[in-house]
Amino acid sequence: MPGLHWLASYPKSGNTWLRTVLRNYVVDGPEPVALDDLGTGAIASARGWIDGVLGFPSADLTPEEIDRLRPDVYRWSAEAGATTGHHKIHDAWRLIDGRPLVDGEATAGAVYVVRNPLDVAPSLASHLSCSVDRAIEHMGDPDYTLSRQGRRMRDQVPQRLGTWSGHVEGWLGSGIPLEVLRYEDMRAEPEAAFARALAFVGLEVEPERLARAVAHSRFERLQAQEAETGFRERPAKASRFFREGRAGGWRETLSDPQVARLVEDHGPVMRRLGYLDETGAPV
Amino acid sequence: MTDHSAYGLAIRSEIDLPELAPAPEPVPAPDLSVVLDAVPRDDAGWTAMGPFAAVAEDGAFRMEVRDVARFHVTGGDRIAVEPAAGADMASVRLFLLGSALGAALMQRGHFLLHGNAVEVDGRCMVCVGPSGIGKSTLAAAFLGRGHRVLSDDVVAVTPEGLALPGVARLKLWRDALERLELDAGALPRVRPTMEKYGLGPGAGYCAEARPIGWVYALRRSNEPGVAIERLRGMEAFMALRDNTYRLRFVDGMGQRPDNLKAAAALAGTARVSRVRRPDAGYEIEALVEALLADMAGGG
Repeated sequence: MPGLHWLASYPKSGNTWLRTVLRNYVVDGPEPVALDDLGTGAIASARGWIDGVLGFPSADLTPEEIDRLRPDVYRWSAEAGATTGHHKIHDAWRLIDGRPLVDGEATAGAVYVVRNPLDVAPSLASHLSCSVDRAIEHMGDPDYTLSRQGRRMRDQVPQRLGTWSGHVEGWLGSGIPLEVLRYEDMRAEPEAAFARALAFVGLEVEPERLARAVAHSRFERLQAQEAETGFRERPAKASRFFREGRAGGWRETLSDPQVARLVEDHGPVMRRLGYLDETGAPV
Repeated sequence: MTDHSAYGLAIRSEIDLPELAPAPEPVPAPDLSVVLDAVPRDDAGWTAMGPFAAVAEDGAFRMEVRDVARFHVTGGDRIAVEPAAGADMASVRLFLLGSALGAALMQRGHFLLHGNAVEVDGRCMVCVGPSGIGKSTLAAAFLGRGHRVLSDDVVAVTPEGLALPGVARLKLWRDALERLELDAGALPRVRPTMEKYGLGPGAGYCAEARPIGWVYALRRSNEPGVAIERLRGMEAFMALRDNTYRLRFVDGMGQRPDNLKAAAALAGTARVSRVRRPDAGYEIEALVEALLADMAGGG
Protein backbone atom coordinates (compact mmCIF):
# COMPACT_ATOMS: atom_id res chain seq x y z
CA MET A 1 0.00 0.00 0.00
CA PRO A 2 1.50 3.32 -0.94
CA GLY A 3 1.97 5.89 1.74
CA LEU A 4 4.49 7.27 4.14
CA HIS A 5 5.82 5.50 7.18
CA TRP A 6 5.93 7.64 10.29
CA LEU A 7 8.15 7.22 13.31
CA ALA A 8 5.90 8.94 15.78
CA SER A 9 6.40 9.83 19.41
CA TYR A 10 6.05 12.42 22.10
CA PRO A 11 9.53 13.95 22.51
CA LYS A 12 12.16 12.16 24.63
CA SER A 13 10.57 8.77 24.18
CA GLY A 14 13.23 6.94 22.18
CA ASN A 15 12.49 8.10 18.65
CA THR A 16 16.11 8.96 17.93
CA TRP A 17 17.28 5.60 19.22
CA LEU A 18 14.81 3.87 16.90
CA ARG A 19 15.98 5.94 13.93
CA THR A 20 19.59 5.16 14.78
CA VAL A 21 18.92 1.42 14.82
CA LEU A 22 16.93 1.69 11.60
CA ARG A 23 19.67 3.61 9.85
CA ASN A 24 22.41 1.33 11.09
CA TYR A 25 20.38 -1.68 9.95
CA VAL A 26 19.88 -0.25 6.47
CA VAL A 27 23.50 0.84 6.05
CA ASP A 28 24.95 -2.22 7.84
CA GLY A 29 28.44 -0.75 7.86
CA PRO A 30 31.46 -1.77 9.90
CA GLU A 31 31.23 1.50 11.80
CA PRO A 32 28.15 3.09 13.36
CA VAL A 33 26.55 5.70 11.15
CA ALA A 34 27.36 9.28 12.00
CA LEU A 35 24.80 10.97 14.22
CA ASP A 36 24.22 13.71 11.72
CA ASP A 37 23.59 11.13 9.06
CA LEU A 38 20.53 9.37 10.45
CA GLY A 39 18.97 10.31 7.14
CA THR A 40 15.73 8.45 7.54
CA GLY A 41 13.70 11.10 5.76
CA ALA A 42 12.64 14.62 6.71
CA ILE A 43 10.71 15.24 9.91
CA ALA A 44 7.03 15.98 9.26
CA SER A 45 7.51 19.56 10.41
CA ALA A 46 10.52 20.31 8.20
CA ARG A 47 10.01 23.54 6.33
CA GLY A 48 12.10 22.35 3.41
CA TRP A 49 9.72 19.47 2.79
CA ILE A 50 6.57 21.50 3.32
CA ASP A 51 7.71 24.54 1.33
CA GLY A 52 8.98 22.40 -1.52
CA VAL A 53 5.60 20.75 -1.94
CA LEU A 54 3.50 23.87 -1.36
CA GLY A 55 5.33 26.07 -3.87
CA PHE A 56 5.08 29.04 -1.53
CA PRO A 57 6.85 29.63 1.77
CA SER A 58 5.47 28.48 5.11
CA ALA A 59 7.35 31.50 6.46
CA ASP A 60 4.63 33.65 4.88
CA LEU A 61 1.76 31.67 6.41
CA THR A 62 0.03 31.84 9.78
CA PRO A 63 0.23 28.75 12.02
CA GLU A 64 -3.43 28.00 11.31
CA GLU A 65 -2.85 28.15 7.56
CA ILE A 66 0.17 25.88 7.84
CA ASP A 67 -1.88 23.38 9.85
CA ARG A 68 -4.66 23.34 7.25
CA LEU A 69 -2.24 22.78 4.40
CA ARG A 70 -0.09 20.05 5.95
CA PRO A 71 -2.51 17.17 5.23
CA ASP A 72 -2.29 18.07 1.53
CA VAL A 73 1.50 18.08 1.66
CA TYR A 74 1.66 14.55 3.04
CA ARG A 75 -1.00 13.24 0.70
CA TRP A 76 0.83 14.68 -2.27
CA SER A 77 4.16 13.26 -1.11
CA ALA A 78 2.66 9.82 -0.60
CA GLU A 79 0.90 9.81 -3.97
CA ALA A 80 3.85 11.17 -5.86
CA GLY A 81 6.07 8.55 -4.24
CA ALA A 82 8.30 11.51 -3.80
CA THR A 83 9.86 10.57 -0.52
CA THR A 84 11.84 7.60 0.61
CA GLY A 85 12.58 6.53 4.08
CA HIS A 86 10.70 6.96 7.26
CA HIS A 87 9.61 10.25 8.64
CA LYS A 88 9.84 11.32 12.22
CA ILE A 89 6.83 13.13 13.62
CA HIS A 90 6.28 14.61 17.06
CA ASP A 91 2.93 16.25 16.27
CA ALA A 92 -0.10 14.94 18.09
CA TRP A 93 -2.38 13.14 15.69
CA ARG A 94 -5.40 15.36 15.42
CA LEU A 95 -8.13 16.68 13.17
CA ILE A 96 -7.76 20.07 11.56
CA ASP A 97 -11.04 21.37 10.13
CA GLY A 98 -12.22 17.77 10.22
CA ARG A 99 -9.21 16.40 8.33
CA PRO A 100 -6.52 14.28 9.98
CA LEU A 101 -3.07 15.86 10.02
CA VAL A 102 -1.81 12.63 8.49
CA ASP A 103 -4.51 10.45 7.01
CA GLY A 104 -4.93 6.98 5.64
CA GLU A 105 -4.18 8.14 2.11
CA ALA A 106 -0.90 9.69 3.11
CA THR A 107 0.10 7.00 5.58
CA ALA A 108 1.05 3.37 5.20
CA GLY A 109 1.58 3.09 8.92
CA ALA A 110 3.33 4.45 11.95
CA VAL A 111 5.68 3.04 14.53
CA TYR A 112 4.60 4.79 17.70
CA VAL A 113 7.28 4.89 20.39
CA VAL A 114 6.09 5.48 23.94
CA ARG A 115 7.93 5.85 27.23
CA ASN A 116 6.90 6.03 30.85
CA PRO A 117 5.97 9.70 31.46
CA LEU A 118 7.81 9.47 34.77
CA ASP A 119 11.03 9.12 32.75
CA VAL A 120 9.94 11.50 30.00
CA ALA A 121 9.55 14.39 32.46
CA PRO A 122 13.18 14.66 33.65
CA SER A 123 14.43 14.02 30.12
CA LEU A 124 12.19 16.75 28.74
CA ALA A 125 13.35 19.15 31.46
CA SER A 126 16.95 18.56 30.50
CA HIS A 127 16.22 18.90 26.79
CA LEU A 128 14.39 22.21 27.27
CA SER A 129 16.73 23.42 30.01
CA CYS A 130 13.77 23.99 32.30
CA SER A 131 12.75 22.67 35.70
CA VAL A 132 11.15 19.26 36.06
CA ASP A 133 8.03 20.98 37.41
CA ARG A 134 7.84 23.05 34.23
CA ALA A 135 8.28 19.96 32.10
CA ILE A 136 5.45 18.29 34.01
CA GLU A 137 3.28 21.33 33.30
CA HIS A 138 4.08 21.13 29.59
CA MET A 139 3.18 17.45 29.56
CA GLY A 140 -0.20 18.31 31.05
CA ASP A 141 -0.89 21.28 28.81
CA PRO A 142 -3.41 20.59 26.03
CA ASP A 143 -2.04 23.55 24.08
CA TYR A 144 1.63 22.67 24.37
CA THR A 145 3.31 23.33 21.04
CA LEU A 146 6.92 23.03 19.86
CA SER A 147 8.42 25.60 17.49
CA ARG A 148 5.72 28.10 18.23
CA GLN A 149 5.60 30.96 15.75
CA GLY A 150 5.14 34.45 17.05
CA ARG A 151 7.75 37.17 16.88
CA ARG A 152 10.26 34.96 15.12
CA MET A 153 10.46 31.95 12.98
CA ARG A 154 11.78 28.53 13.98
CA ASP A 155 13.43 26.16 11.59
CA GLN A 156 10.45 23.83 11.78
CA VAL A 157 6.77 24.66 11.54
CA PRO A 158 4.80 24.66 14.80
CA GLN A 159 4.13 21.16 16.15
CA ARG A 160 1.18 20.86 18.45
CA LEU A 161 1.88 18.14 21.00
CA GLY A 162 -1.01 18.54 23.41
CA THR A 163 -0.77 16.57 26.64
CA TRP A 164 1.34 13.41 26.91
CA SER A 165 -1.83 11.35 27.45
CA GLY A 166 -3.63 13.04 24.60
CA HIS A 167 -0.66 12.35 22.36
CA VAL A 168 -0.80 8.61 23.09
CA GLU A 169 -4.57 8.40 22.82
CA GLY A 170 -4.60 10.42 19.61
CA TRP A 171 -2.17 8.21 17.76
CA LEU A 172 -3.55 4.97 19.18
CA GLY A 173 -7.08 6.03 18.26
CA SER A 174 -6.21 7.41 14.84
CA GLY A 175 -7.18 4.37 12.80
CA ILE A 176 -3.73 4.39 11.22
CA PRO A 177 -1.97 1.01 11.16
CA LEU A 178 0.29 1.22 14.17
CA GLU A 179 3.12 -0.70 15.79
CA VAL A 180 3.48 0.49 19.37
CA LEU A 181 6.92 0.19 20.88
CA ARG A 182 7.57 0.82 24.53
CA TYR A 183 10.97 2.34 25.35
CA GLU A 184 11.21 -0.01 28.31
CA ASP A 185 10.86 -3.03 26.02
CA MET A 186 13.47 -1.55 23.68
CA ARG A 187 15.81 -1.41 26.70
CA ALA A 188 14.93 -4.83 28.08
CA GLU A 189 14.85 -6.81 24.86
CA PRO A 190 16.12 -4.58 22.07
CA GLU A 191 16.33 -7.12 19.31
CA ALA A 192 12.78 -8.33 19.78
CA ALA A 193 11.41 -4.80 19.95
CA PHE A 194 13.35 -3.41 16.99
CA ALA A 195 12.58 -6.49 14.93
CA ARG A 196 8.90 -5.62 15.22
CA ALA A 197 9.59 -2.07 14.04
CA LEU A 198 11.70 -3.20 11.09
CA ALA A 199 9.12 -5.75 9.99
CA PHE A 200 6.37 -3.17 10.32
CA VAL A 201 8.08 -0.74 7.95
CA GLY A 202 8.56 -3.51 5.46
CA LEU A 203 12.17 -4.51 6.01
CA GLU A 204 13.16 -8.14 6.07
CA VAL A 205 14.64 -8.93 9.46
CA GLU A 206 18.02 -10.66 9.46
CA PRO A 207 18.84 -11.43 13.10
CA GLU A 208 22.61 -11.01 12.91
CA ARG A 209 22.33 -7.82 10.95
CA LEU A 210 19.90 -6.51 13.55
CA ALA A 211 22.24 -7.50 16.36
CA ARG A 212 25.00 -5.47 14.68
CA ALA A 213 22.69 -2.48 14.25
CA VAL A 214 21.65 -2.64 17.89
CA ALA A 215 25.29 -2.84 18.96
CA HIS A 216 26.17 0.18 16.79
CA SER A 217 23.32 2.07 18.46
CA ARG A 218 24.14 1.32 22.07
CA PHE A 219 23.53 4.31 24.28
CA GLU A 220 27.15 4.59 25.40
CA ARG A 221 28.24 4.70 21.76
CA LEU A 222 25.74 7.44 20.94
CA GLN A 223 26.94 9.44 23.93
CA ALA A 224 30.54 9.03 22.87
CA GLN A 225 29.72 10.05 19.30
CA GLU A 226 27.92 13.13 20.51
CA ALA A 227 30.86 14.08 22.73
CA GLU A 228 33.18 13.75 19.77
CA THR A 229 31.30 15.27 16.86
CA GLY A 230 28.20 16.89 18.27
CA PHE A 231 24.60 16.17 17.31
CA ARG A 232 22.61 18.72 15.39
CA GLU A 233 19.35 17.68 17.05
CA ARG A 234 20.64 18.83 20.42
CA PRO A 235 19.02 22.13 21.34
CA ALA A 236 21.60 24.88 21.75
CA LYS A 237 20.73 25.32 25.43
CA ALA A 238 20.95 21.67 26.42
CA SER A 239 24.37 20.40 27.44
CA ARG A 240 23.87 17.13 25.63
CA PHE A 241 21.18 15.17 23.84
CA PHE A 242 22.12 11.66 24.98
CA ARG A 243 21.83 12.15 28.71
CA GLU A 244 20.96 8.98 30.59
CA GLY A 245 19.22 6.53 28.31
CA ARG A 246 17.73 4.19 30.83
CA ALA A 247 14.37 3.16 32.14
CA GLY A 248 13.37 3.78 35.72
CA GLY A 249 15.73 6.64 36.43
CA TRP A 250 12.73 8.61 37.64
CA ARG A 251 12.92 6.89 41.02
CA GLU A 252 16.12 8.82 41.73
CA THR A 253 15.04 12.07 40.13
CA LEU A 254 11.39 12.79 40.85
CA SER A 255 10.01 13.89 44.17
CA ASP A 256 6.89 12.20 45.55
CA PRO A 257 4.69 15.22 44.68
CA GLN A 258 6.06 15.19 41.14
CA VAL A 259 5.27 11.50 40.75
CA ALA A 260 1.81 12.09 42.20
CA ARG A 261 1.20 14.95 39.79
CA LEU A 262 2.17 12.89 36.76
CA VAL A 263 0.07 9.92 37.89
CA GLU A 264 -2.86 12.25 38.46
CA ASP A 265 -2.46 13.84 35.02
CA HIS A 266 -1.82 10.66 33.07
CA GLY A 267 -3.00 7.72 35.19
CA PRO A 268 -5.47 6.13 32.78
CA VAL A 269 -3.04 6.04 29.87
CA MET A 270 -0.20 4.90 32.13
CA ARG A 271 -2.36 2.04 33.30
CA ARG A 272 -3.31 1.18 29.74
CA LEU A 273 0.35 0.97 28.76
CA GLY A 274 1.39 -1.01 31.82
CA TYR A 275 3.16 1.81 33.66
CA LEU A 276 0.78 1.56 36.60
CA ASP A 277 -0.39 -1.62 38.22
CA GLU A 278 -3.99 -2.40 39.25
CA THR A 279 -3.56 -0.49 42.46
CA GLY A 280 -2.47 2.59 40.53
CA ALA A 281 1.11 2.40 41.72
CA PRO A 282 4.00 2.93 39.32
CA VAL A 283 5.36 -0.36 38.07
CA MET B 1 -3.03 51.34 -12.90
CA THR B 2 0.52 51.75 -11.69
CA ASP B 3 3.80 51.34 -13.51
CA HIS B 4 6.78 49.73 -11.86
CA SER B 5 10.25 48.56 -12.63
CA ALA B 6 11.80 45.29 -11.47
CA TYR B 7 14.10 42.64 -12.97
CA GLY B 8 14.63 44.83 -16.00
CA LEU B 9 10.92 44.73 -16.74
CA ALA B 10 8.40 47.52 -17.13
CA ILE B 11 5.44 46.26 -15.11
CA ARG B 12 1.93 47.68 -15.43
CA SER B 13 -0.37 46.62 -12.66
CA GLU B 14 -4.07 46.93 -11.86
CA ILE B 15 -3.07 46.31 -8.24
CA ASP B 16 -1.09 48.94 -6.44
CA LEU B 17 2.37 47.50 -5.67
CA PRO B 18 4.05 49.72 -3.07
CA GLU B 19 6.82 47.14 -2.60
CA LEU B 20 8.13 47.80 -6.10
CA ALA B 21 10.06 50.78 -7.32
CA PRO B 22 7.98 53.06 -9.55
CA ALA B 23 8.88 53.07 -13.21
CA PRO B 24 11.34 55.88 -13.91
CA GLU B 25 9.08 57.23 -16.64
CA PRO B 26 5.68 56.42 -18.13
CA VAL B 27 5.70 53.04 -19.83
CA PRO B 28 4.34 52.95 -23.41
CA ALA B 29 4.18 49.16 -23.64
CA PRO B 30 4.73 47.12 -20.50
CA ASP B 31 6.85 43.98 -20.51
CA LEU B 32 4.64 42.41 -17.87
CA SER B 33 1.00 43.09 -16.98
CA VAL B 34 -0.59 42.28 -13.64
CA VAL B 35 -4.37 42.11 -13.95
CA LEU B 36 -7.30 41.22 -11.73
CA ASP B 37 -9.01 38.39 -13.53
CA ALA B 38 -10.58 35.01 -12.91
CA VAL B 39 -8.13 32.12 -12.99
CA PRO B 40 -9.24 29.07 -15.03
CA ARG B 41 -10.30 26.07 -12.94
CA ASP B 42 -10.32 23.40 -15.61
CA ASP B 43 -7.65 20.75 -15.08
CA ALA B 44 -7.49 19.53 -18.66
CA GLY B 45 -4.03 20.09 -20.09
CA TRP B 46 -2.51 20.91 -16.72
CA THR B 47 0.08 18.83 -14.90
CA ALA B 48 0.18 19.22 -11.15
CA MET B 49 3.53 20.17 -9.61
CA GLY B 50 2.18 19.81 -6.10
CA PRO B 51 -1.22 20.07 -4.46
CA PHE B 52 -1.46 23.79 -5.26
CA ALA B 53 0.57 24.50 -8.39
CA ALA B 54 0.33 23.27 -11.95
CA VAL B 55 1.99 23.81 -15.30
CA ALA B 56 0.47 23.55 -18.76
CA GLU B 57 2.15 22.16 -21.86
CA ASP B 58 2.89 25.64 -23.15
CA GLY B 59 4.58 26.53 -19.86
CA ALA B 60 1.64 28.43 -18.39
CA PHE B 61 1.61 28.38 -14.60
CA ARG B 62 -1.21 28.25 -12.10
CA MET B 63 -1.09 28.40 -8.31
CA GLU B 64 -3.53 28.71 -5.43
CA VAL B 65 -2.79 30.01 -1.96
CA ARG B 66 -5.94 28.93 -0.16
CA ASP B 67 -8.08 31.78 1.15
CA VAL B 68 -5.65 34.33 -0.29
CA ALA B 69 -5.54 34.22 -4.08
CA ARG B 70 -5.17 32.23 -7.27
CA PHE B 71 -2.59 33.17 -9.88
CA HIS B 72 -2.36 32.40 -13.57
CA VAL B 73 0.92 33.29 -15.23
CA THR B 74 1.32 33.11 -19.00
CA GLY B 75 4.03 33.84 -21.53
CA GLY B 76 6.22 35.56 -18.99
CA ASP B 77 4.20 38.71 -19.69
CA ARG B 78 0.91 38.36 -17.88
CA ILE B 79 -0.06 37.56 -14.31
CA ALA B 80 -3.77 37.21 -13.62
CA VAL B 81 -4.66 37.53 -9.96
CA GLU B 82 -7.96 36.31 -8.52
CA PRO B 83 -8.08 37.29 -4.84
CA ALA B 84 -10.15 34.99 -2.59
CA ALA B 85 -13.28 36.42 -1.04
CA GLY B 86 -12.31 38.57 1.90
CA ALA B 87 -8.58 38.34 1.25
CA ASP B 88 -6.50 41.36 2.17
CA MET B 89 -4.34 42.84 -0.54
CA ALA B 90 -1.12 42.80 1.50
CA SER B 91 -1.38 39.01 1.63
CA VAL B 92 -2.22 38.82 -2.07
CA ARG B 93 0.82 40.94 -2.94
CA LEU B 94 3.10 38.82 -0.79
CA PHE B 95 2.50 35.72 -2.87
CA LEU B 96 2.19 37.68 -6.12
CA LEU B 97 5.67 39.15 -5.72
CA GLY B 98 7.14 35.79 -4.70
CA SER B 99 6.02 32.64 -6.46
CA ALA B 100 3.86 34.26 -9.17
CA LEU B 101 6.44 36.81 -10.26
CA GLY B 102 9.07 34.08 -9.98
CA ALA B 103 7.07 31.93 -12.38
CA ALA B 104 6.89 34.81 -14.87
CA LEU B 105 10.65 35.24 -14.65
CA MET B 106 11.13 31.52 -15.23
CA GLN B 107 8.89 31.72 -18.28
CA ARG B 108 11.21 34.45 -19.55
CA GLY B 109 14.13 32.07 -19.17
CA HIS B 110 15.80 33.59 -16.10
CA PHE B 111 17.98 31.59 -13.73
CA LEU B 112 16.68 32.34 -10.24
CA LEU B 113 18.31 31.83 -6.84
CA HIS B 114 16.39 31.76 -3.57
CA GLY B 115 18.13 34.42 -1.58
CA ASN B 116 19.00 38.08 -1.65
CA ALA B 117 21.50 40.28 -3.44
CA VAL B 118 23.36 43.12 -1.72
CA GLU B 119 25.73 45.57 -3.39
CA VAL B 120 29.31 45.38 -2.14
CA ASP B 121 32.13 47.38 -3.73
CA GLY B 122 30.48 47.80 -7.12
CA ARG B 123 29.67 44.11 -7.30
CA CYS B 124 27.12 42.14 -5.30
CA MET B 125 26.96 39.42 -2.72
CA VAL B 126 24.18 36.85 -2.94
CA CYS B 127 23.15 35.04 0.24
CA VAL B 128 21.23 31.80 -0.17
CA GLY B 129 20.06 29.19 2.28
CA PRO B 130 17.05 27.52 3.89
CA SER B 131 13.99 29.47 4.95
CA GLY B 132 14.57 31.01 8.35
CA ILE B 133 18.36 30.93 8.27
CA GLY B 134 18.49 34.73 8.42
CA LYS B 135 19.11 35.92 4.86
CA SER B 136 16.81 38.93 5.11
CA THR B 137 18.11 39.82 8.57
CA LEU B 138 21.62 39.76 7.16
CA ALA B 139 20.63 41.94 4.20
CA ALA B 140 19.04 44.42 6.61
CA ALA B 141 22.27 44.55 8.60
CA PHE B 142 24.21 45.37 5.43
CA LEU B 143 21.60 47.99 4.53
CA GLY B 144 22.15 49.54 7.92
CA ARG B 145 25.83 49.85 7.10
CA GLY B 146 25.14 51.77 3.93
CA HIS B 147 25.11 48.96 1.39
CA ARG B 148 22.28 48.90 -1.13
CA VAL B 149 19.93 45.98 -1.71
CA LEU B 150 19.16 44.72 -5.20
CA SER B 151 16.65 42.04 -4.38
CA ASP B 152 15.21 40.02 -1.50
CA ASP B 153 13.91 36.45 -1.83
CA VAL B 154 14.31 36.08 -5.62
CA VAL B 155 17.63 36.85 -7.32
CA ALA B 156 17.51 36.81 -11.11
CA VAL B 157 20.90 35.98 -12.60
CA THR B 158 21.83 36.87 -16.18
CA PRO B 159 23.90 34.50 -18.33
CA GLU B 160 26.83 36.86 -17.79
CA GLY B 161 26.56 36.41 -14.04
CA LEU B 162 24.90 39.70 -13.10
CA ALA B 163 22.12 40.00 -10.53
CA LEU B 164 19.15 42.06 -11.67
CA PRO B 165 17.52 44.66 -9.42
CA GLY B 166 14.22 43.18 -8.27
CA VAL B 167 11.89 43.35 -5.29
CA ALA B 168 14.06 44.74 -2.55
CA ARG B 169 11.52 45.00 0.26
CA LEU B 170 12.96 42.96 3.16
CA LYS B 171 10.56 40.77 5.14
CA LEU B 172 11.64 40.77 8.77
CA TRP B 173 10.20 39.17 11.89
CA ARG B 174 9.76 41.35 14.95
CA ASP B 175 12.54 39.52 16.74
CA ALA B 176 14.98 40.26 13.91
CA LEU B 177 13.96 43.92 13.85
CA GLU B 178 14.70 44.19 17.54
CA ARG B 179 18.13 42.63 17.09
CA LEU B 180 18.77 45.16 14.33
CA GLU B 181 17.49 47.91 16.65
CA LEU B 182 14.80 48.92 14.20
CA ASP B 183 11.28 49.97 15.12
CA ALA B 184 8.56 47.59 13.94
CA GLY B 185 5.89 50.14 14.78
CA ALA B 186 6.78 52.25 11.79
CA LEU B 187 6.58 49.41 9.28
CA PRO B 188 3.68 47.71 7.48
CA ARG B 189 2.95 44.08 8.32
CA VAL B 190 3.41 41.69 5.43
CA ARG B 191 0.24 39.93 6.58
CA PRO B 192 -2.35 41.37 8.94
CA THR B 193 -1.99 38.85 11.79
CA MET B 194 1.72 38.07 11.58
CA GLU B 195 4.56 39.72 13.47
CA LYS B 196 6.46 40.08 10.23
CA TYR B 197 7.13 43.45 8.65
CA GLY B 198 8.21 44.90 5.33
CA LEU B 199 11.31 47.07 5.38
CA GLY B 200 11.54 49.07 2.19
CA PRO B 201 15.13 49.98 1.36
CA GLY B 202 14.14 53.47 0.22
CA ALA B 203 17.30 55.18 -0.93
CA GLY B 204 19.09 51.90 -0.24
CA TYR B 205 17.63 50.29 -3.35
CA CYS B 206 20.19 49.49 -6.00
CA ALA B 207 18.27 49.79 -9.27
CA GLU B 208 21.16 48.69 -11.48
CA ALA B 209 22.37 45.20 -12.29
CA ARG B 210 25.61 44.20 -10.60
CA PRO B 211 28.04 41.37 -11.29
CA ILE B 212 27.80 38.68 -8.64
CA GLY B 213 31.15 38.53 -6.90
CA TRP B 214 30.25 36.17 -4.10
CA VAL B 215 27.58 33.64 -3.22
CA TYR B 216 27.30 32.63 0.44
CA ALA B 217 25.27 29.56 1.30
CA LEU B 218 24.19 29.94 4.92
CA ARG B 219 23.78 26.97 7.24
CA ARG B 220 23.23 26.41 10.92
CA SER B 221 25.78 24.68 13.07
CA ASN B 222 26.25 23.56 16.64
CA GLU B 223 29.70 25.10 16.78
CA PRO B 224 30.27 28.54 18.23
CA GLY B 225 31.48 31.26 15.90
CA VAL B 226 31.16 31.77 12.18
CA ALA B 227 33.00 29.49 9.74
CA ILE B 228 33.39 30.32 6.06
CA GLU B 229 34.50 27.57 3.71
CA ARG B 230 35.22 28.23 0.06
CA LEU B 231 33.53 25.79 -2.30
CA ARG B 232 35.00 24.84 -5.64
CA GLY B 233 34.07 22.84 -8.67
CA MET B 234 31.32 20.32 -8.08
CA GLU B 235 30.52 21.56 -4.57
CA ALA B 236 30.11 25.14 -5.77
CA PHE B 237 27.89 24.02 -8.61
CA MET B 238 25.73 21.90 -6.31
CA ALA B 239 25.32 24.74 -3.81
CA LEU B 240 23.94 26.93 -6.60
CA ARG B 241 21.76 24.20 -8.02
CA ASP B 242 20.37 23.33 -4.59
CA ASN B 243 19.54 26.97 -3.85
CA THR B 244 17.59 27.54 -7.05
CA TYR B 245 14.29 29.33 -6.48
CA ARG B 246 11.36 26.92 -6.63
CA LEU B 247 13.30 24.01 -8.12
CA ARG B 248 10.04 22.08 -8.34
CA PHE B 249 8.67 24.67 -10.77
CA VAL B 250 11.90 24.63 -12.75
CA ASP B 251 11.48 20.89 -13.19
CA GLY B 252 7.78 21.20 -13.93
CA MET B 253 8.52 23.69 -16.69
CA GLY B 254 11.15 21.42 -18.17
CA GLN B 255 13.90 23.92 -17.46
CA ARG B 256 16.25 21.72 -15.47
CA PRO B 257 18.92 21.45 -18.21
CA ASP B 258 19.07 25.22 -18.60
CA ASN B 259 19.11 25.59 -14.85
CA LEU B 260 22.09 23.30 -14.50
CA LYS B 261 23.95 25.13 -17.25
CA ALA B 262 23.31 28.46 -15.59
CA ALA B 263 24.40 27.13 -12.20
CA ALA B 264 27.61 25.83 -13.73
CA ALA B 265 28.25 29.16 -15.43
CA LEU B 266 27.77 31.11 -12.21
CA ALA B 267 30.02 28.70 -10.32
CA GLY B 268 32.70 29.74 -12.77
CA THR B 269 32.37 33.48 -12.27
CA ALA B 270 31.43 33.95 -8.61
CA ARG B 271 33.24 32.88 -5.44
CA VAL B 272 30.90 30.39 -3.79
CA SER B 273 31.29 29.64 -0.10
CA ARG B 274 29.47 27.80 2.66
CA VAL B 275 28.92 29.84 5.81
CA ARG B 276 28.14 28.09 9.08
CA ARG B 277 26.69 30.24 11.77
CA PRO B 278 25.84 29.18 15.32
CA ASP B 279 22.33 28.11 16.09
CA ALA B 280 21.86 30.34 19.09
CA GLY B 281 23.19 33.63 20.34
CA TYR B 282 25.18 34.67 17.33
CA GLU B 283 25.79 38.32 16.75
CA ILE B 284 24.53 39.50 13.39
CA GLU B 285 27.24 42.13 13.22
CA ALA B 286 29.92 39.48 13.72
CA LEU B 287 28.53 37.64 10.73
CA VAL B 288 28.55 40.82 8.66
CA GLU B 289 32.16 41.50 9.66
CA ALA B 290 33.20 37.98 8.78
CA LEU B 291 31.62 38.21 5.34
CA LEU B 292 33.09 41.64 4.60
CA ALA B 293 36.51 40.38 5.64
CA ASP B 294 36.12 37.36 3.42
CA MET B 295 35.10 39.53 0.48
CA ALA B 296 37.97 41.92 1.05
CA GLY B 297 40.46 39.13 1.55
CA GLY B 298 40.11 37.03 -1.56
CA GLY B 299 38.80 39.40 -4.21
